[in-house]
Amino acid sequence: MTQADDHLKDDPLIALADLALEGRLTREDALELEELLDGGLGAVQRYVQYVGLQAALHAEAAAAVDEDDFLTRIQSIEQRRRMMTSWKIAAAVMACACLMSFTVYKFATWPWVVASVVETSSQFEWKKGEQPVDGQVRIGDQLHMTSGFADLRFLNGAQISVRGPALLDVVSAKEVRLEYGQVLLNVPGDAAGFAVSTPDGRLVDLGTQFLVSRNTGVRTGATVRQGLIEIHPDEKFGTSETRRLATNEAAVFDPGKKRWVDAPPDWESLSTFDLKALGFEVLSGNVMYVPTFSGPLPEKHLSGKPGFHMIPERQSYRLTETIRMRDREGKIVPLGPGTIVTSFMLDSAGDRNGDWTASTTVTSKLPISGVIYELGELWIANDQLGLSGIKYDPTQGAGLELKNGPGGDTLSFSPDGRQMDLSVSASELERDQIRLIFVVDPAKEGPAK
Amino acid sequence: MRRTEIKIDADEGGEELQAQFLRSLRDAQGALYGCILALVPAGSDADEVFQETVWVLWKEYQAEGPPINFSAWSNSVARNIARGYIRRERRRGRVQLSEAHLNMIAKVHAGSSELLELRQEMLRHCLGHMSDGDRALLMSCYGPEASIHVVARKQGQTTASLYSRLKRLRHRLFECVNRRMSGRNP
Repeated sequence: MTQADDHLKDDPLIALADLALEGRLTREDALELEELLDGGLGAVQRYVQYVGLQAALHAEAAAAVDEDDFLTRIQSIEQRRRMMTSWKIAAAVMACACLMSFTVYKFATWPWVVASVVETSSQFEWKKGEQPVDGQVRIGDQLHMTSGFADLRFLNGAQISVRGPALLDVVSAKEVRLEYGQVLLNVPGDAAGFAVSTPDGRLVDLGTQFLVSRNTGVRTGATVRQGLIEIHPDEKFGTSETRRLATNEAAVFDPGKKRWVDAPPDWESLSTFDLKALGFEVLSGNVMYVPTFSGPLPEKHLSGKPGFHMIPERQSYRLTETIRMRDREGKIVPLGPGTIVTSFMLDSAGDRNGDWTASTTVTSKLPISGVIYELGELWIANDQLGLSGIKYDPTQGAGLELKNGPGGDTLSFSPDGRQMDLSVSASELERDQIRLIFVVDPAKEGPAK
Repeated sequence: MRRTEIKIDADEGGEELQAQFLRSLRDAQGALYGCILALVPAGSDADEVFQETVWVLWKEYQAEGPPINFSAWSNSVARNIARGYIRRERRRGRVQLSEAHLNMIAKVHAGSSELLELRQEMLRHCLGHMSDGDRALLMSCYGPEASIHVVARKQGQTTASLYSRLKRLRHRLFECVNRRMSGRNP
């Protein structure tokens, strides 16, 4: 059957019924369908008959399979607090073909697992008693995080990174409800339709990566990094106006206007998620992840306020010449040829508005082996660790000047090297840089001279 | 986390009662699912309501014993559960038809049970006139364990194109059933 032979494709009632069957009915569609159903009993009968065809097809297909398959479809429901529906599947097994009696039915039950916690960050913590059992996330679970990040992977392929403090309800295999906190969703095409509901509206993914933020006293916001989402305002606001956000678009809910309005994308929050993916967690300070950069480093911080740019440089690079880093105690350690290192540049910049100070506390999943911050050593290491597209021009005071007392730069590490406290001060046109060095594999020949 | 475990097991209700329930449920499941779909058309939502309905039916069955008319009883339970589900989903911001329209649909559906049975018979004829390939596709997409994504992958199609193909087949069957109901051959 070709599209041209499809006489019903232009029938509005059937088209809307198709959307309803596919779970894609928008508010406007629902209103249009209601209007058509108001047209008379005939329209309602036609709708019932068309939807009934779907049921009849299911029944025909079910009749084509044997009794065991019917029994395995019978599932039971688990009920959970807060009236959230949860399921358990009761799978029935008919163990014997003998139909002398039906005494061989046996049902087993198990909770309906829809996702698992695949990774958590160093600062991550559940609120006691409100966490998934054995890392398995079930429908109806309430995930309450007090800090850090947790990455959830759903069975349909959707991945959600949750940033605490956050309270998240798992509504179904394709929907979560965010009471507060931040979530970054990566939804593959197959899982399109995945939704995040909030008290201000429901955000439906149409195959994309997007961020939803909702913090106490702050408006709910959404930023689409890639793809498309559809926002449905909550019914309590009395509006059915839906809107779509495409790549690099953002919106926030305006409680005064009771609708979603345009807003600048929340790159800073997205950057925090990116850093977490690299193994860094920013506990304080303005640190922006800059994954792709070319040309001279910016004179002004990209956020417009003093802070740091985290630039991934050479990863797992085998040195061909010796470079010198300072270990966590501040001693100079040469790293000879053959040593494999990974480098991140932490480049700080002000707001071009006079003297400035920037501080941060960053944790790292792997211990930081050492740093390079003297101007000369930074310059020597540029050839091997720096990226070819970046112009590392030596500007005045690019290295740190560590000294005690006010006005000096400060740097310290936790004993295990997994936390770094950094504070830099500079004049309007100055910048400060520091390379974080991770020794992936020491040189086999022994320490370099 | 706290979970309430609910089991259907032989000790709880007796094996014979359980077997009786399953036989009745198997016979009524087509009409039951149709009743749910009329109010909750999206497949995954309907599955959720169906599962909850089965659980409630079994509990009632255990407590009250077999009803006089299993089909009528199960349909009425399903309608109530579907309405509760719709209310919950509406609170969560999901788009639903208004209560008035859902009531209207439920009434028309309840009054059309015999007609829908007849249409099901006509559907069998229409399926018989389809090509083997189209019929096999429908059976695999509407089967109990069906996954459109899996079928699309097996067929080397995108999910969207498979949905379009299914929609065209559905339209063709709907027209075929309508023709047969009006006394014309497919």
